[in-house]
Amino acid sequence: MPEEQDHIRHWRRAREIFELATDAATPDEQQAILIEHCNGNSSLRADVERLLGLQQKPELAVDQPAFGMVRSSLLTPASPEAFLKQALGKGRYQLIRHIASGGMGDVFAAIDLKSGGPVAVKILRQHWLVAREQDNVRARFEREAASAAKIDHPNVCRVLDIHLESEPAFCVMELLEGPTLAEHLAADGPLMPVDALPMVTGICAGLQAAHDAGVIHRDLKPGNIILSKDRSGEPVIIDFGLATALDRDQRDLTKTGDVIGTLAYIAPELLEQGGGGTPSSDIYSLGVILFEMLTGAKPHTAVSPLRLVMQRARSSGALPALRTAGVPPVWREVVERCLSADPQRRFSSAGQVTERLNTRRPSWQFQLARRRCRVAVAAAGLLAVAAIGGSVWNREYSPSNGAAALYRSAQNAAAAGAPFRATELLEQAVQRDPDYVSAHSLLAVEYAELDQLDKAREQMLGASLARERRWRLGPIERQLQEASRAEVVHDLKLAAELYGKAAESFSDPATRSFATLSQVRVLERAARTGDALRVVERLVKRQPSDLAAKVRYGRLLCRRRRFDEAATQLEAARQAYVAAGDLEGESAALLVRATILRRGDSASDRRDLGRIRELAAKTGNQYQDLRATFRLVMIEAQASHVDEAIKMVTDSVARARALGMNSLAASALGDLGYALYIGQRFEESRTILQQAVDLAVRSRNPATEASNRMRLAEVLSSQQLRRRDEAVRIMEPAIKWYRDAGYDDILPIVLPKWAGLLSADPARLQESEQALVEALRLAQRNGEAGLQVLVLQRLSGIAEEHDLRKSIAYWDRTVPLAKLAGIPAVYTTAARAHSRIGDFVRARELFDQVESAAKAMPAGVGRQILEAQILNEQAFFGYRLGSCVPALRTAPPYDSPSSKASFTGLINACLPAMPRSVLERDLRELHSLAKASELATDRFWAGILLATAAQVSLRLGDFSAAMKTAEQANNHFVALGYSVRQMEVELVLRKALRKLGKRQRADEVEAQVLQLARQVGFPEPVRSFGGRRDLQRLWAD
Amino acid sequence: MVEDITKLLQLSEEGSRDHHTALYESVYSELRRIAGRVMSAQPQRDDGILQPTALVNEAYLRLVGSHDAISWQSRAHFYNVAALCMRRILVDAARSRHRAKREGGLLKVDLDHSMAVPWEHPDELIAIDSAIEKLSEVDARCAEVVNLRFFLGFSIDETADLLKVSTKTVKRDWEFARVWLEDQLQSP
Repeated sequence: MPEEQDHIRHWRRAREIFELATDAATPDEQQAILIEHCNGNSSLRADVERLLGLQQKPELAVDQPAFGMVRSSLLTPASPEAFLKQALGKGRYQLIRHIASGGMGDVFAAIDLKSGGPVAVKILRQHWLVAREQDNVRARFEREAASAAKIDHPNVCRVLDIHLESEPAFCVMELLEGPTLAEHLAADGPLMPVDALPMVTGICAGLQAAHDAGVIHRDLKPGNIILSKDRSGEPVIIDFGLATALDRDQRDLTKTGDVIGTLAYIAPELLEQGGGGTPSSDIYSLGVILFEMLTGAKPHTAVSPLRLVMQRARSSGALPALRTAGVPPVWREVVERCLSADPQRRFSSAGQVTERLNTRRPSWQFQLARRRCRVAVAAAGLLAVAAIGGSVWNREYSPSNGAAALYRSAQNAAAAGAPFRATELLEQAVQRDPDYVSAHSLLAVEYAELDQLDKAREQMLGASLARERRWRLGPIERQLQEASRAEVVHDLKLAAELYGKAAESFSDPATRSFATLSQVRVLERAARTGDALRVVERLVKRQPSDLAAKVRYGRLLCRRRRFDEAATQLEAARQAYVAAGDLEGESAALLVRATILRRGDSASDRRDLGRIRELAAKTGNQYQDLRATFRLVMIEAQASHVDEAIKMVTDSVARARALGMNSLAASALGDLGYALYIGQRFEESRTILQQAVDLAVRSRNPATEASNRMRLAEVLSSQQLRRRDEAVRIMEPAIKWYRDAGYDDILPIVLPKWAGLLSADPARLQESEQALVEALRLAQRNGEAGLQVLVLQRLSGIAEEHDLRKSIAYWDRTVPLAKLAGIPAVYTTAARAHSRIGDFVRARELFDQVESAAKAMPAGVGRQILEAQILNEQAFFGYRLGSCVPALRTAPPYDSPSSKASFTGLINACLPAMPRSVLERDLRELHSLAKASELATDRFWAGILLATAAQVSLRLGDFSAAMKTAEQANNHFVALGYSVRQMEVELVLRKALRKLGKRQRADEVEAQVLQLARQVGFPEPVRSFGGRRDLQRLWAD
Repeated sequence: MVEDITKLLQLSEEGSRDHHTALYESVYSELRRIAGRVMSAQPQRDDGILQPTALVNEAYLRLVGSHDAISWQSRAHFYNVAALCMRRILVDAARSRHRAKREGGLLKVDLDHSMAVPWEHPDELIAIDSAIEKLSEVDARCAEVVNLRFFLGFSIDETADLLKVSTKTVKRDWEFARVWLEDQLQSP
C-alpha cells in the first residue's frame, strides 16, 4: 500500500523537523529550520507548524491519564455545599455548616428546631444507600441502628434520629466538638502510657456498653473517636452500628492510601472469611488503635493492601516496634493480645482490656502462651521444610565471599570492646553476603551497644529479610537471631534465656563462648549480677584461654566487690593481650580496671586511662577513647578539679554525640553531675544532671533517662537545694518506668528513694510506706540482705515517728540482717529507737557493737562518718557528752553549717558546752534554714530545725522565744502526724512554759505528752525521758 | 499462578504467539477484575483514589509476585502488556458507555458489581484509542510511551526506566506524541 507508506514516511519526516524546531533557541531560528528542512513541501511545513502551535496549548487530550478522566467524572462526590441552607426532616433540622466528609457521607452541624439544641446531621451517600437496598442488609442495618440509638453512655455518641426514607437519607446524632483521635495523634504524636490510659479506659467503656447492647462497631478507628471538648477530652466513639459488613466488602483490596488506612483496623478473620463482625473483631481494631496511640504508627505498614494482608497473616506474635518504642510490658501484652490473629486469644471483652492495664505485670499465662506460640511456629516451619523435601535441615549456613572470616574477626572485636571496628567488619560482611543472618544480627547488637538504635533496627529488619530470603535457617543462626532481637528490643529476660539455650546447644567452642558471653552481658545489663557471675565463672574455667571472658569475669567480680580476685583476673588478661599484641584487648582490660576496680588510687587509674587513650590513638578505637575520657572526667571531678572536668566533659559529650553515642554521653553527664553533687557543687550538679536527663530523653534511652532522673531528683531534694516538689516531678516518670519495665533488681534500690521523697508530703505518706513495703518484698525475693536492711531502716524510721512499738518490731528484723550484710551503721539508729522506748540496755549493746565495728574499719572518710553518726545518736540521749563538740567539728562531710542541723543530737548535746556567741549565730542560722524549709513546704525539716532552735533559745534563757518556736515546731509535727517528735518538742514547750510561770498551760502540755507517750508505745513515764543525768549514770563505764 | 505467569512471560518474550495471547488474557482478566471493583467502590476522599500505577503494580504482585527470579525484560514486558490491557478495559468501557448513551439509557457497566457509571465523554477515549493505533505505525516507541503514560499513569522517569531509554528520549517522544494525538483528534 504505497499511499499508506507515504503517509507514514510523511509523519516520520514531520517528526524529525518538529524536533529540530523544538530545539531552536529563537523563533527566527525555528523559521529558518522549517524553511530549510521542509524544502518547499508546503503540506509538510503546515503539519509541523500546526504541531508546534499545539505545543503552546495548556492542556492536551492525553495530558490527564485515562484513569484521570474516569476519575474526574465518575468519582467526584456531590459538593457538600449543595446541601447547606436546607432543613431536613420536614423542616426540623436546619443545617448550619459542613463539618466533615466521611466514608458514609457528609456531616453537618445543625439545629434541631424542635428542641432548639445543636445536633450533628449525617447525610448518607447515595451509593451507600444503594447497597443497603439489597436483600437483608437493610433490615439488619435498621435493626442495628435502632439498637445503637438505645446505647446511652458518655463514651458513645448518641444516635437521635434516623431517616432512611427521606431524600437525602440522613441520621441525626449528638453534636460533638473536638478533634478526632486521628487528628490528635497526627498533631501531637504518640502518647505516653500514662496519658493513653484514661483515653483507652474511656474507649473501652464505650465499646463495652455497645457490645452489651449487642451492637458491633465494625469500623472502629482513630477517625471515629472524638476527643470531646465538652467532656474535657473524653473519647467518644461515633458511628456505632452504621458500618455493615457490606461496606467492608466494597472497600477494595487494591486501593492504596486511605483504604489501607481503614483496612489496617479490620480483623484478619473478617478479611479472610468475611462475615458481619463480632465483639472480638472490634477488640482487634481497638488493638490497632492502642498500637497507634503508643507508637504513632500502625502495626503493619505496607505499600499495598495485598502485602498488608500477607504481612498480618504472618506476624501475629511479637511486635518489635512496641518494644523499640519503649512501650511497657503490660501494654505490649495487651496490644499483642488484641492483635492476635486468633480471635480466641484476644480479650473476650473491652472491659478486660482496661482491667489488664490496671494491673502491672504481664501474666505468666500470656508469657507461656507466647512461648508456646513460638514453638508452634517453629514446628510449622519444620513441616513446611519437610513437605518440600528439606534435605538441608540441620546443615549450617556457609556464607559466601569471605563473609564468614569477617564475621569471626567482628566477633573478636566485639568481645575485645571494639564495637566500632566490629560494626565496620560486619557492614562489609553483610555487603558481601546480604543473606548472612548472623552477621545482620550481631551488627544490630553492636549498633545497639553504640546507641545507634536506628541502625540497629535496620539490621534487625535486614536479618528478618535475609531469613525470609533464605527460606529457613540452621539452628545456630536462628537461635542467635532471636536472642539478638530480644536484646536489641531490650527484652533482657528473654534474651538471656535464648543466649543461654543457644550456648548449651552449640558444640563449636568459639560459638559457644560467644553465646555465653552474650548471655553474661545481657544478665549484667539486667542487673542480675549473681547469675552473670556464675555463668562467666563456668566459662572461664572451661575456656581459660578466652581472654574476653576473663575481662568480663574481672568486671563482674568488681561488681560484687571482690576486688582482689578481680585485679588478678584483669592483670592476667591484660598480660595475655599484651603478649598477643592485641591493643584493643589490652585497652578493654585496662578500662575495667580503671573504671570499676576500686583501688582508691587515682594515680594508677590516671596512668591506665592515659595508656588506653594512647592505644586508642593507634587503633582508632573512639569508643574506648571516649570511655576512658569520661572516666578521667570523673577522676578530675572527684579530685575537685571541677572546672577542668566540666570542660573535658563538654568536649567529649560533643564528640560522643557526633559519633551518635548519645546515651553514653548522657550517662557520662549523669556520672559527672552526681560526682559534683558528692563534691557539694550543688547548683552545677543540678545543671549538668538536667542536661543529662534532656540528652537521654533526646537519645530515646529510657534506662539512662531514668537513672539520670533519679540522680537529679536526689540532688534537688538534697538539704541544700530543697526543691522537693520538683524532685517528685522529676523522679515520678523514672519510678513509673522502672515499675512498668519490671526492673525487679533496680526497684528495691530506687523505691526507698521515692518513698523518702514522698514521706515529706503528709498526703502521700501512705504511698511512701507502700513503696517501701514493695521494695522490701522485692529485696527479700532477690535475697539482697543489704537492701532489705536499707528498706527496713526506712520503714522503722517512719514508724518511729508515730508508733514506737512497730518501729522496734522492724528493728528486730533489721539488726540480724545488718549483721549478715555487714552494715553496722544501722545499729546506731536501732540504738536510738531502743533508747526512745527506754530500753537502754539493748541500746548500749548495739552501741558497743557498732563502736567496735567502727574501730575495725580502715581510717578514712567512711569511718569518720560512721563515728560521727554514732556520736550523734549517742548524744541524742546524752551519752558521752565530752566527745561531742570535737566530733561535731570534724565530722565530714557534715561540716557545712546547714548540715549541722541534721546532727540534731550533737547540737542538743553540745548546747551546755557552747559559748553564747556561737549559740546566737546558730540560732539565727537555724531560723533562716527553717524558714527556707517552710518555703519549700518541707515540714519535716522545718519542724526539726525549729525544735532545735527552741532548745537553743531555752539554753540562752529566752523562754518566750523558746515557747513560740516550740509551738511552731509542734504545728509541723502535728500536721505530719509525727507523734514521737511532737511528744519530744512538747517536752521543750513544757519546760519553757514552766520557766515563764504558765503553770496551768504547762500541766496541760504535760498531760498531752503523757497521753502521746502511751499512744506511741513509750513504756516509761515521761519524766525519765531526756533525764540526761540518769542516762549518764546508767551508761557510765 | 506465580509460576505460570513467570513461565508465560518468558515464553512470550521468546516470541511464542500463543503464549503471548495467554499472558495477555491472564493480565487482562486480573486487571479487569481489580478495575471493576475500583469503579464500583466509592472514593472516600480525593487522595484515596486509586492510581492506575498502583493498580497495575497490584496486578503485577498478584500475578508475578515479588519473585526475584523474574528478569527486567520480563518485568518491562509485563507492564507493556498491562498497559495494553488497561487500554482495552477503558476503551471497552467507553464503547459500551457510548453505545448506551446513544440508546438513551443509563449504562450498567458489566463489571463485578452493578453500578451506575456516569461518564461524560466516552467518545473522546475511543478517538484517542484509534489515534494511538495510527501513531504506532509512525513511531512504535512513541505509542508505547503513550500507553504507559496515558493508560498506566507512569511518570517520565518510570517510563524511561521501564523502556530502558533516557528520560530525554522519553520526553521527546512524549512531546511529539501528545501534540500529534491532539492534532489527530482535532482533524481526524
